Amino acid sequence: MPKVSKSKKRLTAAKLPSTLDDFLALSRILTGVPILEAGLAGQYLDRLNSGPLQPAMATILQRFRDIPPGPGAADLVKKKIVADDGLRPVVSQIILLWYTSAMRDSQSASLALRFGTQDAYFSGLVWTIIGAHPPGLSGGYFGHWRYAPENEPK
Amino acid sequence: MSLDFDVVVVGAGVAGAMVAHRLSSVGARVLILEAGSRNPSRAQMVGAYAIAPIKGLLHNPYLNAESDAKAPSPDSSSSYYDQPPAPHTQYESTYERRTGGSTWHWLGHTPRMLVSDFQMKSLYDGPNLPPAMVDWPITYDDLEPWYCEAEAEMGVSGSDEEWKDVFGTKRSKPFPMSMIWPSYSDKWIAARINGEKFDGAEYLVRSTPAARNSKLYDGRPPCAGNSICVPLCPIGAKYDGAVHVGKALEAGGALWEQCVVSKLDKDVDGSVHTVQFITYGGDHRAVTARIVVIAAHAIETPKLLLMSGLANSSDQVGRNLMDHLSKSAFAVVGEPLFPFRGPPSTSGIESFRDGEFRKERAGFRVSLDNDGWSRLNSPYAEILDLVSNQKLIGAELQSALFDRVSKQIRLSCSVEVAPDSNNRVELSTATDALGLPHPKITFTPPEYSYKGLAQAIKTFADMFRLMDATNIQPIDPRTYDGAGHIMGTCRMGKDRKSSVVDSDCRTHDHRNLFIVGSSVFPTCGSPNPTLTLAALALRTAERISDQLGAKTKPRGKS
Repeated sequence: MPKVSKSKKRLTAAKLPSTLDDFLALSRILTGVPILEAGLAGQYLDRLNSGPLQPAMATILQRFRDIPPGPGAADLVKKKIVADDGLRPVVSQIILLWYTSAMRDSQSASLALRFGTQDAYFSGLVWTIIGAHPPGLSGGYFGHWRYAPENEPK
Repeated sequence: MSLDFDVVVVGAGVAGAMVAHRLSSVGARVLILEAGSRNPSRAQMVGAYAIAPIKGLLHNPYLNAESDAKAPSPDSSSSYYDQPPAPHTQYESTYERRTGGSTWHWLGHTPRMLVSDFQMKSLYDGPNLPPAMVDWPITYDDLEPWYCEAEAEMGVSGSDEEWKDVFGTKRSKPFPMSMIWPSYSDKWIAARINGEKFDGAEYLVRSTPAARNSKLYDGRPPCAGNSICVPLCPIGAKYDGAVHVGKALEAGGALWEQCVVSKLDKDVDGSVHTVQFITYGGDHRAVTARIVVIAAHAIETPKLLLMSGLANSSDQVGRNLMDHLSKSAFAVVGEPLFPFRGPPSTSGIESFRDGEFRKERAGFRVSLDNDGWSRLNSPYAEILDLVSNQKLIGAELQSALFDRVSKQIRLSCSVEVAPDSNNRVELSTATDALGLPHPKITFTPPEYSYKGLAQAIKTFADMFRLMDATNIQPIDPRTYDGAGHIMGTCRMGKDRKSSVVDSDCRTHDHRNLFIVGSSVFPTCGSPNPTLTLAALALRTAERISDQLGAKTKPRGKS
C-alpha cells in the first residue's frame, strides 16, 4: 500500500496545474511557437503580474484552465480569451513579450516600450518569424544578407 | 619658451585621431584633449542597446551621467542646441562627445566627393546658384591621393568596377577590400530599375563604399550584418575614430579624457600656443604647444573659436552651417525582400548627384535601405495591430506578420545643402555645468536644396512605380531629417577676407592654429562627409609635419 500510495502522490503532483505551466501552454497557442523557454516564461509572467495587468492575467489564466487540452484548445482560446475586448490588450502584451521582450507602458497612441533583460531581447521570436535576426546579433557570416534567409518561413 | 607638447589636438574623433596618429608616428610629442571619455565600453553599449526603450535614439547606448552633464551634446540633451522652436526650421543633426567621436554611430558610408563638387561656382554659376556656392581652393585631383590614404587607414570596402568613373571622378588605387555585398533587396530593386531613365539620368544600383570590413582587416573582423551600424557596431567591423586614437597612443601620443577645452590664448605675435581646459572636477588648467589643432567637429570647433575670439577676421567663423537633407520613403512590394538583415544600407544610386540642373537645384544621393519600416515603429506596432485589431494569434499571426513586414521597403536620400552665411553657429547665453555656452543655431535650408529634395521625392515615386509598389506612404516635401552630416562653419578658401582656413586647413589669422574636420568644407555636394574630412585631415597632418620641421624625427632615429 505504501508503494501504491507514493506512486499516486507523484502522479497527482505532476498533474497539478502550476501557473507557470499554464502560462507556457497558453503562450504556445498565442505565439504559435511550440517550444518556449521556461526561464523567459518566468520573467515574462513576473512582469505581467507586477503591474496593473495582474487582475486581467489572473482572469486569462483561469479561463485557460477551464479549456480542455487538445486539438480544439486554440479555437477556444480565441473565443474565450482573445475575443474578449477587455482581455485582448493583455493578450497583445503577452505576445509582444514573447516576440520582442518589450512591454507597452500604456495604450496611448505613441508606442512607449520597456524592455527587460538583454538575454530576453536577443531571444525575441519575431525576428525568426520574419526571416531575420535580432538587431545587434545576426549570428551570420559576412554576406549572408545577399541571399534569402535560411529560416524563411515556408 | 619651453612648451609642453609639439602638438595639442582638441578632440579625439576621426579627424583629430588621424592627425595625432600621423604626427606621433613621426616623433612629434602629441597630446589629444577629449571632452568625453571611452566609457561605456562597446560590450556595455551592446547590452544597453538591447534594453533601450527606443532603439532608434542615437544616444541610448552611450548614456554616461558624468559626461552627459559635464560635456553635453545634442545627442545627450534635446535642449543643447539653442535654436528657435518648431515650426521654425530646425537643425536636425547631432553628434557625440566621446573618444572616437560620432563615428561610433555613423553608418560607415564613404563615397568620395565628385570632381564637380569642388568646382560649383566655376561649373554652375548663374542667377539661381546660391551666392555662397564657391569653388574649393583645392581640386579633386589634389585630394585624390589622400582619399586613397584615408581609405587604407579606415579600411574601406568597395567595388572597383562599379566606382571606376562616376561622373569623371577617377580612382588611382583599388579599394582596400572588395565590396560589402549588396542585400537581397538591393538585387531585387536593381533587376527592376537598372537601365530605366528618369529626368534624363539612368538608374544604376551600385554597392555603397563603406568603412566596414568585408574581410579581416587591421585586426578587426569582417561585418557580420548585425544591422545596427547606427547606433553602434557590436563587433568593431565598422571603423570608428577610436581605432586611430589607439594607434596614436601606440605611437607615443597622449590622451587626456574628460578635459573640456574652454579657451585658446593668442600671443602678442598672433600665434596660439596655450590651450585652457576644465576637468570634470572643475580644475582650470592649461597646456602649451607649438601647434594647436582643433578637431571638435563643426559645432564645437566654431564655438571654441568664438569663445576664444580667434581666427575670425573674416567674420566667417560659425557661418555656412550645412547638413544633407535626409528623407525616407516607405512602401510595400509584391514579394518578400527580407529586411532587418545585413547592414542598414548596402547600395545606392549616384545618378542624380550631378548635372546641369545644379545651376537651379541641388543634387542628391539615393540609398536603398535594408531596415523595412523600422523608422515607423515596425515590427512592434505591426504585432500589436495584428493582435489587437485583427485578433490574430498563433500560426495565423506569424503568417500575417511575415507577409506584412518582409515586403516593406524604404528608400532615402541625402540632398546637398547649399552654404548660406545666415545659417550659423553662435554662442548662446545658456551655459552648461562647466559654465561654457551652448551653441546657438540658426538654420533654414535654401530653396535650392528644397528643390533638390522635391526632385528626390519625385524620383522615389518613379522608383516605386517601376517596382509596382503599393501602400506608398505620403511624404511632405517641406520637412526633412538630419543626415548627421554636420559641415561648414570654418570654411576653407584662398581669400582670408572670406574664409577661415587656407587650403592646408591652417587658419588665415594664426599660423600655428589648424582646423580639421568637416567644418572646413566650403560646399558639401551630396556624399557622406567622413571620408573627405579624413583625407583632408591626413593631408593637413603632412603640412603640420612639414611645419614642425627638422625638430621632429621618427622615433628611434637621429
